[in-house]
Amino acid sequence: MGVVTRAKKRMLEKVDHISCLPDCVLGNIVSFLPTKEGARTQVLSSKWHHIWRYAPLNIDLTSDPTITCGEVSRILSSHQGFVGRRFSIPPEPKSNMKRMVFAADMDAWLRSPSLNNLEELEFHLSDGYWQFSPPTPPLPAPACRFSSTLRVASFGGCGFSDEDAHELHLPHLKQLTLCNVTISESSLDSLLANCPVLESLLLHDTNCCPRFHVRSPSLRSLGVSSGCRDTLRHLIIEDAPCLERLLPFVRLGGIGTQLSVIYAPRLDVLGPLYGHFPRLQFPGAIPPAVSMDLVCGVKVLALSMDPSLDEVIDLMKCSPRLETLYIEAGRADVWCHYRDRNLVGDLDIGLKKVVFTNYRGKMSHVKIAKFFVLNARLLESMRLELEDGNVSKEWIEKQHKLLKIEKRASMGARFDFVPRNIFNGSLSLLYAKQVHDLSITDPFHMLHV
Amino acid sequence: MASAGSGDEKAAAAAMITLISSDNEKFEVTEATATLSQTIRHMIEDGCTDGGVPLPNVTSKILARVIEYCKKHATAAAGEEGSSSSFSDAAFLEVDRAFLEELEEFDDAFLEVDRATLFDLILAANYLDIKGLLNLTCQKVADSVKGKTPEQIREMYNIVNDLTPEEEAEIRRETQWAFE
Repeated sequence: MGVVTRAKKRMLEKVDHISCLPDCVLGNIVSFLPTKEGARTQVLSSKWHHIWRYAPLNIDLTSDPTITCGEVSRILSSHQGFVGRRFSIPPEPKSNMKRMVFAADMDAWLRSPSLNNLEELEFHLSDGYWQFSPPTPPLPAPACRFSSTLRVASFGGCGFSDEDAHELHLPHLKQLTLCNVTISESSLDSLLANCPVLESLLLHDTNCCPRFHVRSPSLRSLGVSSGCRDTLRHLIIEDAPCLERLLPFVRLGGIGTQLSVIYAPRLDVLGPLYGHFPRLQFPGAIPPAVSMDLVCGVKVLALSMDPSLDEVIDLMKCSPRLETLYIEAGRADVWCHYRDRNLVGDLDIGLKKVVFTNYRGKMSHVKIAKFFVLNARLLESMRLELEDGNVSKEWIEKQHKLLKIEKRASMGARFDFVPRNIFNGSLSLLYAKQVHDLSITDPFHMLHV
Repeated sequence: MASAGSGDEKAAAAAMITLISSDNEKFEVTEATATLSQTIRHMIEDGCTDGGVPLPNVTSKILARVIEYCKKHATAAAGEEGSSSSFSDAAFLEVDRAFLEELEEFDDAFLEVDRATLFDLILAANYLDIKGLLNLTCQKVADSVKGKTPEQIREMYNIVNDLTPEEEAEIRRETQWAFE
């Protein structure tokens, strides 16, 4: 065996291995890059000059928001490939005229041969938001040509006719978002039935669909959020054997949306639950089968309300598996007259983490936090997110005394008083991440770090 | 792992396939493992696997790794098929989910290789037409250049820029939107 000299080794290290890969493989690599970065590989060398032009096309305006609609048209007309990886044109940021996407543009784009066999499709038509807007345009017909290859889809600002919903079979679709979509109750039922491997579904501001019956053997995560046109009044989880995560981001006044859970034996993550959605009712006040079942197996629960201590204790009693609890108290002072019975009994609390947002140190907040300090034997951390971050050291010391932290049930627990996070990003992106990213076990955590 | 397989073994497991690396090492694998490769699947369908499948483009070192990947993912595919018929079995689902997590960990660990091995794996995955492995390895390369300028990518992978300044300027002009 020859000795590899240092000079020879240096030479070996200098070999351009990557350019020796076949063009189709380089194209595959390029297609995994963000849109602009993929196109920039054309200047690497003469070998790379033609790779991007024939590579599977990845146009993703979520990661490259500065690309305009005119540029999308130019990319599609100059690209020479015949395979689409991703075509993602998310809702335009407000008042960005260059990003308005109309049904006619989308129709033309989706006919491009560079998008053949598309795997990921996302679009949001602007027609519905235009001043003096016409009725919601229908689902662009060429979108249906990808039905056998789509794995991820997000349809926005369009309407599903009954024919669309019945005929659109999506055998490989794993992620679906419907945003500002007009769809009837029966059409939504058939659409769901036509997605046999669907894992996550987000419905945002659906129109014309008063009830949604969730029947899916594969669905693991469901999010429902509301907007100005929302007409969803009743969400019925009828048969969802794999459902792990249910995120009702619905903040409605008045009668609110009702939630019924008939069969979801694997529900782990639930919330945020508002005072009026679903009606958070505890044993004694309700036919127990519904709400008991709803929270009894849950490990991560988020509440967006001002609960009374009794409600918290009742909640602990009916959810023995609960490990993480988020409470987001209202920001305004609510007059509440709780007559706490304090019936703790021999309650065994398995809770490991509590996050209390908008903590103000008032009596009702102290009572609840103190309850966990004194009773949660396995507590690892309690995060008290202050509405007003400018508190004095003395105030925090006083809170430590009020909460009886020196008498805590879990000696190893840490207690943090921190300013609350202000979320300035896009809610629809946040919801999509919380619903569709199944690799994270606690979708609420990202807002509280 | 490498064995020619005696006649008895062959009778016991009819669905075994012998793969032969470029350096003539023999690997006996189940048909379920082998058919993750579309290339081998087509050979089996055409009945061309008697006496082993010669893979002149793949060394034993790389083939062993590829088989390791296929074995793991073939089990996953079998699990998925099973899950559709018994999806209501909660215990099964728990196992299923744990396995998916394990699979992700396996993939991460699998990619912990030097650059030369990574490129050999890409070439093998391409030749054997194993889509999952090809995407996994290509994604790894893409991640390594993400956020880098063309100059940094050339430096990183020793790519010699043989374009004249005029040619490069022309490409930049044509694709101006990508350089803004």
